[in-house]
Amino acid sequence: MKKILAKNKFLKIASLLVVVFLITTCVIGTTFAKYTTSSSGNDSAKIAKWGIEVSASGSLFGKNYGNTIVASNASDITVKAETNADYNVVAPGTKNDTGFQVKISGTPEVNYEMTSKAEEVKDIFLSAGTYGMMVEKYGLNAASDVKGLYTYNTTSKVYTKCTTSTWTEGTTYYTLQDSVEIDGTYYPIQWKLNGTDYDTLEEALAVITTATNGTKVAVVDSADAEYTLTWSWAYEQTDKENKLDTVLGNLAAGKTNVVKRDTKTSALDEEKYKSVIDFNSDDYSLEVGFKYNITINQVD
Amino acid sequence: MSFKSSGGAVKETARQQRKAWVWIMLMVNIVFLLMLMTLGIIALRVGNYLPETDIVFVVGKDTSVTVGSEDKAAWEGKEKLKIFSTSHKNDKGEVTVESSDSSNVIAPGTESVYEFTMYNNSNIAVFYEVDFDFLVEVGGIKQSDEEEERFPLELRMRTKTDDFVIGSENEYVPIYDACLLGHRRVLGAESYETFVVDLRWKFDGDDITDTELGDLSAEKGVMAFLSIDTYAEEHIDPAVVGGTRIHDEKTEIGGSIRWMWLLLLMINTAVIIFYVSWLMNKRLQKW
Repeated sequence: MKKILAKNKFLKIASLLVVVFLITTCVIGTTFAKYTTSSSGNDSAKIAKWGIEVSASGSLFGKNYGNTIVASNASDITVKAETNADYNVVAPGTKNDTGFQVKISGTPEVNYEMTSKAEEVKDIFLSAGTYGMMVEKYGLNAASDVKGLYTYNTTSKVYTKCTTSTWTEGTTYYTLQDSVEIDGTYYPIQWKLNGTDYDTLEEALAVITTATNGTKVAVVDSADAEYTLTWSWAYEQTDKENKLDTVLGNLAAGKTNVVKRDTKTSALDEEKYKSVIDFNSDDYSLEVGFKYNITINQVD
Repeated sequence: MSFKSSGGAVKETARQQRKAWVWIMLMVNIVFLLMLMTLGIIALRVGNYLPETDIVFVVGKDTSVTVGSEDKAAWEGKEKLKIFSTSHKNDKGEVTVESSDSSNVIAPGTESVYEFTMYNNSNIAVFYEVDFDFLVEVGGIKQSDEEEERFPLELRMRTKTDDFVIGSENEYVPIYDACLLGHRRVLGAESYETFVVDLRWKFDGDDITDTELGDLSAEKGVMAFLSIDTYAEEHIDPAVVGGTRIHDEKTEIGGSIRWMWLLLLMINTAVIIFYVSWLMNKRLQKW
């Protein structure tokens, strides 16, 4: 009897323990279960396009010409630089039809600034004035009338016109030949930019630099542009121009008797001439060329 | 035969039996405790997979953490945000960068500012983490980590009260490095924290890299993708404070009941051990 009662009691206690155990399990589950959550947001963007390309190609001048630039072993060379010369040449009758090209392309998605410069621009020219050649006059004697001839002062390097007829023994007299007068600057080379003629290289290059300078707007302003620069030096011209070309040719040959009237020191009724090479670079140039630089940068 | 000698032998046997039963009792108690702990771990594993609405596992807690921004009131899943824009203006208000096809665009000199807010509407505190993920595609092909590391975009993140989480007032962190960092913070019950993300691509940075990217974009198309990932979990101390309170009234902290339950667990365990030991002792005495 006691055993049965004890057994029942034991069973009750065991049942109670099971219930408590179950409750405890729930509590543990509650204790350790935790809340978590996550969220995400995203966006994308493309990198703004740049893609501007600038290229310069071609050459304006050469060492050998038929009438355009030809190779050194061509059969129809009419103008040729000295052997082993490190310079190009130009002359009456020469030209370049293919010329020098500048190409710019691209439409960026950012504002940008183009800075274009032509530097060290040189063009062949003769400034306004009277030119000629001083040639020594031979066979003069006491009976000769030297009025109108010229004498040369080695100190001042000036040729002065004789106003009297008396010949002086020991004096060298010169005669002025092939005299030519121009009112304005003479540029023998004719330039062409995209088919339009320009009298000077500076004018042609100014068209390029004006068009390629300034701030441009993203997307709206395309950078697309193309320029082709060519030149020619006519062979058959007016008599005056032919004489001027001869002056330039003699100067290029280094002849010191190519003269120009010196208007700075000459009185109105007195003619004085100086060798052209004694004038400064504002009066003449025998060189042609330029440097062209362009930079394109994004602006903020 | 003496009574003393027979009584001594019985006592010895009884002592030895008691010793054995003590050990058995101890082992039973230990096994029982281990069983309780095992069941607890099972409950933990099961509990994490049950939905929050299962009231059996959510007792005393009212949990809700959301993320919102001006362009998206509540982020749900993977949201499309308006971090970037289709054009940019300089300090003078002039448009200097413009997309040709109405898609978002970035370039040297561009900056973006984006705000989002973590809301803890729960009655318990939470840990939360804000991470960034960034990738670059050229012509639709994802670039290598080395290429992404060179990308010139920079980032800093701060709260509205200018507490800098990434970078500082004078310093931006390269986007690649910012993505490597995890940013763990605390939000108290019914609190929020607003973050400001500043992005910039320096105008006077590495011109070579910048030009390379611009040319590549013109040729093949270069895309940058940025995502903001948030993660929140219940804080072990539901009453810890952090962020700015949503309401001025004091919140009743949930989950603090957990400590009471822990105490109850300990008491239950102690009671179970006591009962089992007492029962075993009683059995031993009878035998």
